[in-house]
Amino acid sequence: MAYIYPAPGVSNVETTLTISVASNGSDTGTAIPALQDITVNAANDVFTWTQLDQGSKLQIATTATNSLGMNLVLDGTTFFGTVGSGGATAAELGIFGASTDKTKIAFDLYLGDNDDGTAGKTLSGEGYITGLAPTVSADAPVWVSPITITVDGDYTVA
Amino acid sequence: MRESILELLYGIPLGTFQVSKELPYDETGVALYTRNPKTIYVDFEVEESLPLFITLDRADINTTTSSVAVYFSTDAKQIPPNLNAMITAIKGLKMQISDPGANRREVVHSTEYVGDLLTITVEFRFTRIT
Repeated sequence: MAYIYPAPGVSNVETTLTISVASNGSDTGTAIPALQDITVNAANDVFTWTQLDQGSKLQIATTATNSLGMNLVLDGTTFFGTVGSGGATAAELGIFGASTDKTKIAFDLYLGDNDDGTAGKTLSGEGYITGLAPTVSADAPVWVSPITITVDGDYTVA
Repeated sequence: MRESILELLYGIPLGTFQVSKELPYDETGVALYTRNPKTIYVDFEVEESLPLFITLDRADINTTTSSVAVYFSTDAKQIPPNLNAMITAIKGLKMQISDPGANRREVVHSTEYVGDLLTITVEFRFTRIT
């Protein structure tokens, strides 16, 4: 077996998400720190029909809606970027700048190492950052936010 | 935090009570605050740190609670007339104690009888993000 077994805080074994500006080939990417959870959504639509010679409905999978859903603790540098809106790279734009500029980003989600010691899988793709809703409370005065990457097209697995 | 409490205690009306800078250690099995009634002792600060957010890259975001207890005792047969007012004044120090960044300030007080003594404990608990 090769269970996916990320170890938080262990380099090359922990789960990581790296984003870069899709149209900028020289953008080496920036890692998103302090992710609390990640959900990979790959929801196929289904076309359903009935036939007079079938007792049950028939279905076929059609196109998928893909997205990554996450929650993160805000890090000022990666959230607002070194430049902000108008930046050329993901590090310059920051998460907020990429969202407000509606910049298409490329992402690499390394799922983490396997328990048999082999390297884990990486999900890649391109999409847009949406769903930011930073919040803070008096009980837990640290800014946190949900974040969604709506994927344009397919995931690739490497 | 202990130093701040000690400093503030000198500023409130204590009547016949006095403040000691000593820790409330046991002397031959008897706590100083029961050996010396009407003397207020401030204990050493203790801290407890627990994770506030657990992240996939093990970011270190904790909530740290610092506690300091104030102890004193008095003759249970002859309660000083200013006792309630003094306890209220000590609890009122909650918002004056210096602890920048504390997002939660709590104070609780409890009483216990030791022989003919009424012992009073006032505990301050401050929580902050670390």
